[in-house]
Amino acid sequence: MLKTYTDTQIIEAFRQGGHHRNSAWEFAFKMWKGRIIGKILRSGGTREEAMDAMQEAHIHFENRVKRDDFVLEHSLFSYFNTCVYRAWTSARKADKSVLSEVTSEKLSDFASEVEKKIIRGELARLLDETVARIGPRCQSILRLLIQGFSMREIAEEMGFAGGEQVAKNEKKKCMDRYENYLDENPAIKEQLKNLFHD
Amino acid sequence: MTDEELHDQIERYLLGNMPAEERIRLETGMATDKRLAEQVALQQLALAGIQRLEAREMRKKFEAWDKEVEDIPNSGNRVHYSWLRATFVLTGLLVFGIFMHFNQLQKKHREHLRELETIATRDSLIALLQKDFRELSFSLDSLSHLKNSEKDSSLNAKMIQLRNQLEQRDRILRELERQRNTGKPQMAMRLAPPPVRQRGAGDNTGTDIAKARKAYNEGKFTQAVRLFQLIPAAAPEQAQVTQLLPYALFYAGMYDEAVPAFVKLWESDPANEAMNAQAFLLLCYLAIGDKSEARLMRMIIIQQEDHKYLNIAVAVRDSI
Repeated sequence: MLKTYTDTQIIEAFRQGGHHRNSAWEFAFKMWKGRIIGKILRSGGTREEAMDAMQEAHIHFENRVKRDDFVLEHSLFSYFNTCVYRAWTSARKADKSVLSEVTSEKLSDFASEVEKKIIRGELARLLDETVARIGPRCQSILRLLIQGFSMREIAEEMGFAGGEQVAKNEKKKCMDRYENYLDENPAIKEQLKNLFHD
Repeated sequence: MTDEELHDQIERYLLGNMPAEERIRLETGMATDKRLAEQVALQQLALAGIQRLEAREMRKKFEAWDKEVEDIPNSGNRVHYSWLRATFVLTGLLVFGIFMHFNQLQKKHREHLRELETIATRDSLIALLQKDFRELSFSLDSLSHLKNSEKDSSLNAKMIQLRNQLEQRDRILRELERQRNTGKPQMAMRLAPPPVRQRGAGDNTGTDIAKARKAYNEGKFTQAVRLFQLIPAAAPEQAQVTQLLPYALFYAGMYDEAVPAFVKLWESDPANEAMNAQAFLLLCYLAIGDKSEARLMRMIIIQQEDHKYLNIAVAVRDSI
């Protein structure tokens, strides 16, 4: 049976993290996806593009909603819908800049757009490769951390007999492993920093 | 602050779990402390990589939830319902088709029975008329053999009445026997193309040919035949008579007379009228029951692959 949430309860569940957050996402997705996909389909997109946009937008949406200074102006659905639609239009714009005809006046703009897109793609791949180096166990721990699980819950999920403290230590080790790798590869580190600068 | 505490603080900041006041303090510190900014950037990179990984995992969850929504009973019922509806519609069509088929068979069977009944009635009528005809002939013969001295006026009147009755019986018998010769006038009329009323239209001069054409155009074919036949053989309008009379005869049901008229039409304008004449001749032969001539005409039509009345030749196959 799907648990139902109000907007306030969804926000609260996101802030609590862990299973509360996942359950709230399940409810939100099931309730909203029809209208969100419908809007993108009506705008000439595809179902796959809508799912990509949701994948892209949900991180920003959740991070923003979790903040204590977040103010709900209309409804959570409207906000998520806007986030997804923006993600979709910007992805479309990027694709269009590669595919559309180029006039001589716009050649330099076009070249820089394409270059930016390629660089961002390469950096994202580099980031993925870097994360892959910490191993699946560390990835699982850090993913639970991202999902908002507490250290006690991470210990339970990962089956650490020592409980919360072991989970904390393990998480620290994983982060250190990642940071050490970047420290040992300053070129990669510098390149990856560009991900946050447009 | 220990390294571990700083690490946790940055983590809370990057995961959005930091109160606004503390966040502002940290951001201010980042602007002045290069080492702090460097540490934030490093942890940000680590978390960004994990976030990308988590986003891909979230996408898998979205796909799974999407499937669940499609599989929930309501949607399932809808899919089921559409299949069920399609099945009902197809079954309905099938039942309707079977019903119509059997209805058609029944109709044909009823028509066949009616035809048999008509034949039986006609045959019994012919038998009765023949018996009556023989009796009348015998009576008339008997009266005819009487001596003149024995014939008074009432006897003469009786003989005249008997002769009239004999003539009447003879006419009826001949017509019934003609029908018995398996002629199919109704079928011929049904298969015939509709009359082309435009032939010779637009003349209101009041001449016989104009009147005949008018009658023809109004579908008064018997009247048209009579008027066409009034036109002298040497008259210049004969060409029009040759053109229209055969059709008028046919649509008036005068199939016997239509045969030579169509032959004449065929001979007069083989290039344009051959196909029409052949088809109507076939129908005339069908109507009067002349099977051998009908078969011959059908062969002529069938041999011409581009014959415009090939459908008629095909339709009469079982009837001749």
